[in-house]
Amino acid sequence: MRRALVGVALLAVGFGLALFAVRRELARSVDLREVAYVGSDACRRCHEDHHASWHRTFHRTMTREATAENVLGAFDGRSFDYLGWRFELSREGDEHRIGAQGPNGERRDWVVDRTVGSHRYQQYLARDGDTWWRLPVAWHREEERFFSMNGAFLTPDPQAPASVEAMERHVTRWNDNCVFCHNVAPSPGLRADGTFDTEVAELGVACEACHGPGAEHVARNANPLRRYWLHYVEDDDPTLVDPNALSAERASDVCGRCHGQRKTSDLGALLADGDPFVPGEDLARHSEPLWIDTTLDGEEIFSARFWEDGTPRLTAYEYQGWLQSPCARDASFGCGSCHSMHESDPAGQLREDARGDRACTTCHSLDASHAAHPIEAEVRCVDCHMPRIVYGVLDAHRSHRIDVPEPARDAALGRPDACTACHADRTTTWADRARARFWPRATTRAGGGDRDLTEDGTPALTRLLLGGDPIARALAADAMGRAASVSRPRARGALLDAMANDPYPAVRRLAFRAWRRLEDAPSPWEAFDPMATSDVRAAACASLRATTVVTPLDPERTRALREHAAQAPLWIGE
Amino acid sequence: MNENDRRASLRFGWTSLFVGALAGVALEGAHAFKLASYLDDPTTRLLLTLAHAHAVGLALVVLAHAHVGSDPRPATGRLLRVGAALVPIGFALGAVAHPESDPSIGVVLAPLGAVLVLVALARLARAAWRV
Repeated sequence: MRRALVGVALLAVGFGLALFAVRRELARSVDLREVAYVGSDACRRCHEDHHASWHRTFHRTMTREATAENVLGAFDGRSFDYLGWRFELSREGDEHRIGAQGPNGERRDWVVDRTVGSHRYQQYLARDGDTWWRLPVAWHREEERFFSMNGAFLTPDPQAPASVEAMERHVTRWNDNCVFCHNVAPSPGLRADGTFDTEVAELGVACEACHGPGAEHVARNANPLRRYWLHYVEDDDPTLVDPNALSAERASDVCGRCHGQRKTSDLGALLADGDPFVPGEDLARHSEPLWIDTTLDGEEIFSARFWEDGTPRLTAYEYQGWLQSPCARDASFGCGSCHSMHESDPAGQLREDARGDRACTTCHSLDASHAAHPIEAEVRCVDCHMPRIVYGVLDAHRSHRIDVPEPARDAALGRPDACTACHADRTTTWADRARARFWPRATTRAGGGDRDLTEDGTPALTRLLLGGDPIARALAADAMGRAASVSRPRARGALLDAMANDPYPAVRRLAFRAWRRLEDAPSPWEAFDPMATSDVRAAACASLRATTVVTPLDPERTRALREHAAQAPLWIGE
Repeated sequence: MNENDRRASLRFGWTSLFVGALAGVALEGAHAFKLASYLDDPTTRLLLTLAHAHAVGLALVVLAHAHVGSDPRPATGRLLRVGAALVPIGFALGAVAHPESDPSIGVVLAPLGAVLVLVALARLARAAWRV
C-alpha cells in the first residue's frame, strides 16, 4: 500500500512538472520566420475537419502537378483553330501534350507539367529546365472547351493569321509571376546569372499560407499534455497563427497578400529569396498596395486597373476595395466578416452566417429609407452596395469597395451603376431621378469622372456595352444576362452586335454567356466561338439571330458608340 | 479464489459482455441507418469502436478469471474488474464533445483502466508461474 502511495505521489509530481513545462513553453513566443513548413498532409492528422473543408476549395487546386486526376481539360485528341493556328490536345499515358501548328509551318509542342487554377478555367504550365512557362491554351470549365489564353485577358485580337509572338502573347514565366500567389511560401530563387532555383513549400494555397509554417506546431503538439491544455485551458498557441484570433486588420493582411496586388520595396530580394511575409505580421512591413497613382520608375502604369475615382476594377484588388470602404473604419470589420476558408462554400467562400443580407444586417438595419425601394426577395444589400464593376478571370465580380449607388457619378466614370445594371432598359437620367425620389437625402461621394452624360434615350447598359472601354463593355455584357428587368429582344440586339464586332474576345465571351442566359433553352456553347475570326462569328450570330426575336440596333447610334469605344483601348494581361 | 470474488467477476463479466455486445449492435445500426453524426466523424467512430471492442474483450478476460483465475487474492479480481470497466467507459466518454481529432478529456479513464488491467494481469501471470 505504501509503495502504491509513493508511486501515485511520484506520478503526481511528474505530472505537475510536465504541466509547468508546458505552461512555460506556451508563454514563450515563436519567430515563425525561422520555422520550417511541413505541408497540409501533416495538418490532416490532427485537423481532419479543417483539412476537409479546405480540401473543397479552389485555393487548394491553384497549382497542381499535371496528373490524370488533376488535369480537367479533355486531352482526347481533339483540336481547335485560332487565327490560323491549329492546337492539338492529346494524352499518352499520364503525359498531356499540346501541339500547335502555325499558318506558315511553324510548330510548337509542349508537355504539360503543372496546372494553374480550376474554378473558371484551368491553365497549363510546361517545364523547360529550371523554368515553367504558362502555355497559350486553357480549358474553360463551364464551356467545356479549350481556348487561347489571348481570350482570357483584356487585350484585343491580334491580326489574323497570328504570328508566333501574337499566339504566345500571354506565355509568361511562372517562376517569378504566378508562383507568388498560387503556392505556399514561394521563393523564385532568381540567381545572378538569370537562372532560377524556384521552391515552394507546397503547390496550391494550403494550410500554411494562412496559418504560417507548421513544423514547430506539429513537433510540440505531439505532447498530449500540451494539446489538452490548449483544448481546455487556453487556445493561444504561439507555434501557429489562427487568423480568427488576429485583429481584423492583421487577419485581412493574410488575405491581402494575394487579394490585393502589391508593390515591394525590394524587388531583388523578393525574386531571389521569396516573399518574407508570414501570417500575423503587418503586411505593410514588406510591401504596399497598388493604387491608381502608384508609380513604377516614375510612371503610373497601374492606373488602368482602377476606375477614375480609384475604385479597383480588376480582381485581386479586393484588399484595396476593403480599405476604401466606409465599413473598414470599424476595426472589427475585415475579410473574415464575410468570408471563411472553412465554414463556406467553395465558389465565393462566403461564411454561412454571412449569406443573404446577414453580413450587412449585423451592423446595419434596413430602415424606412430602404423600404422606399420595393425590394424583392432576390435583391440583396450587395446588389446595390457592391455592384459587379470588377472584371477578372473571364467573369464580372462584386466591387469590394462598399459604396452608395450614384448612377450619375458612375456614368461619368464610365462604369455600370447598380440601378441600370438591374433595370437594363433604363437610362442614367431615369436612375438618377429614381434615386433622388427614393432617397432624397442620400449622400454623394466626390471623385466623379468627366464623361459627357448627354443622353439620347439609349439604355445606360447598352451605351456601355457598345461605347464603354473594354472593362465597362465586358461588365455591361455580363449585367445584361443577369438583369432582373430587361427587354430581351433589345438586349439580344446589343449582345449580338458585341459578339460579332467587339475587338476584345473577353467581351465577346461574356456577351455570348449573357445571350445564353436570356434564352429559355440555352444554345450549346459550340453555337458561338468568341475566339473565331470575324466572318465565322458573323455567320454564327446570323444563325443565333434566326432562332429568336431580336430588336436591331440603330446603326447611327451604334456607330457613334463604337467610335467612342475605340478611343479607349486597354491592354491588361492580368 | 473466494466465492464472493468469483461471483462478482461472473456478474461483472456477463453484464459487461451484454453491454458491450449491445453497443456493438448499436454501432451496426449506426452503419445500417447511415447515422451521419457517427459515420462522418472518424474520431467518434474510432473511439466508440474501441469502447465496444474493449468492453467485450475485457469482459471475456474477467469471465476467464472467474473460472480459471490463478491468483486467489480478491484485490487482483477488483483491479481487473475496475480496469475492465474504466477502459471502455474512457473510450466512450472520449467520443463525447471531443476536440478536432483528439478524444475529449474523459478518455483519460482509458489509460488509467489499462494500467489497472495490466497490474492485474501481471499478478495473475506471476501467480500462474507459482502454481
